[in-house]
Amino acid sequence: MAAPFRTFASKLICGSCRVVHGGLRSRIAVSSTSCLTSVCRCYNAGSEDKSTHFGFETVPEGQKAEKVYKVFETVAQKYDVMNDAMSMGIHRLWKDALLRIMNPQPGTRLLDTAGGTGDISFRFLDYVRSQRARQERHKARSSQTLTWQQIADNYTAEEQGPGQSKAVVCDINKEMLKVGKQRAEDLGYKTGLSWVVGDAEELPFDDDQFDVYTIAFGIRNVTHIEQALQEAHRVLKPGGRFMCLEFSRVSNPLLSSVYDAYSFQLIPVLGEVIAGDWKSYQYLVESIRRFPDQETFKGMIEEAGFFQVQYFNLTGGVVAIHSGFKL
Amino acid sequence: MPAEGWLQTVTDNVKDNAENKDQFDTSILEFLVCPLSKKPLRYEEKTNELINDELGIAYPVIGGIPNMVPQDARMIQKDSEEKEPMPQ
Repeated sequence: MAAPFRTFASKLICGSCRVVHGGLRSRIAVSSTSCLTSVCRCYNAGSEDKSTHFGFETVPEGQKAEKVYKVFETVAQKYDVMNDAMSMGIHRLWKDALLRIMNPQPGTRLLDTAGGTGDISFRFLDYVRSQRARQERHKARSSQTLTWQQIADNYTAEEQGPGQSKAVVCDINKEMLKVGKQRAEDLGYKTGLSWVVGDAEELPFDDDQFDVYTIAFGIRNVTHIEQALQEAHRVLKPGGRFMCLEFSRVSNPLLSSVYDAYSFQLIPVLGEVIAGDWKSYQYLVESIRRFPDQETFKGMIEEAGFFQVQYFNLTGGVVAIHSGFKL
Repeated sequence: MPAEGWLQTVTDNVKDNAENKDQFDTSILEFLVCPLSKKPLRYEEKTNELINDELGIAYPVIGGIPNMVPQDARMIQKDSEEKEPMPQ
């Protein structure tokens, strides 16, 4: 199925560049050639002239996505167990920290990119629910003696509510989403959650739709990070917030050497023992070292058009939360 | 692939699609668009697909989850064009 579609698409794109190019509606000035390359990228797996990294390996750009896909397809079932084992449970605290900084209020619409097994979205829904409960308690405390009219008004107001909060989980990996959707059912999340298979570099969402965009431990696996950042900017509402949780650079030399030993000596072993997969976890640690440090990544976010870009180091810089606003 | 195996796959697909049909939440179409043209999509219940009529691309919905990756999409074949004849 893919092959004829590819031929068609290349015909479509090369025959009528204007249609697709116009459709991209890039706000940031990009030369039409580079824009076209980015469109052609997905159809032209054979563009061997540009290379990128896959962990410490150098691979043709067209192959990275496929290789990353295989890694996550393999680890999907064990992903959550492995996260706990490798980070000794600390990844939960990192994700909690992301939510505390986000501090979403009822009515927020979240796009959880690379959201795979739902960790961020579930936390988001819990957080919003607790915020709502707090607001209601506060309201109840401030109005103890009500007339019947006020009570009736309260009920109608409640029905309308401040708009439904919504989390959209978008991941390119079908296996990860399957695991996530199953988890949502098991944990009893029913409303305010949608699942979409989609590419962070070509998001299937309209412009100006989301209040918050998150990408947690995902952006390092994207082939063209700049493209993903531009897409994030496009789908956010003006005033919307970009948030990224990702491994980063440890500056303390002592912690850094412990961390290095731990990740290169122990993590692939854990991967082999728990998930039966050495290679995927070797890729994981290598891809972490390849990812730009805090300041460089901050610069990239600013380049994509975000304002007020800042970052917060967690666990001495093992991971960092980057945040920026679309104005 | 032997014919029987192929048939099995086809029947499975049909069954999967039938089971999944009612699971797709169309409210998402409010902001879901074609990743290529960024234009709205039409949900085709019969085939359980999201269709971009302009470019002739159909994105499958599997297990209630729309797959919006262009590489996994299907080009709409000529025989389905009878519904919308091409301007001559």
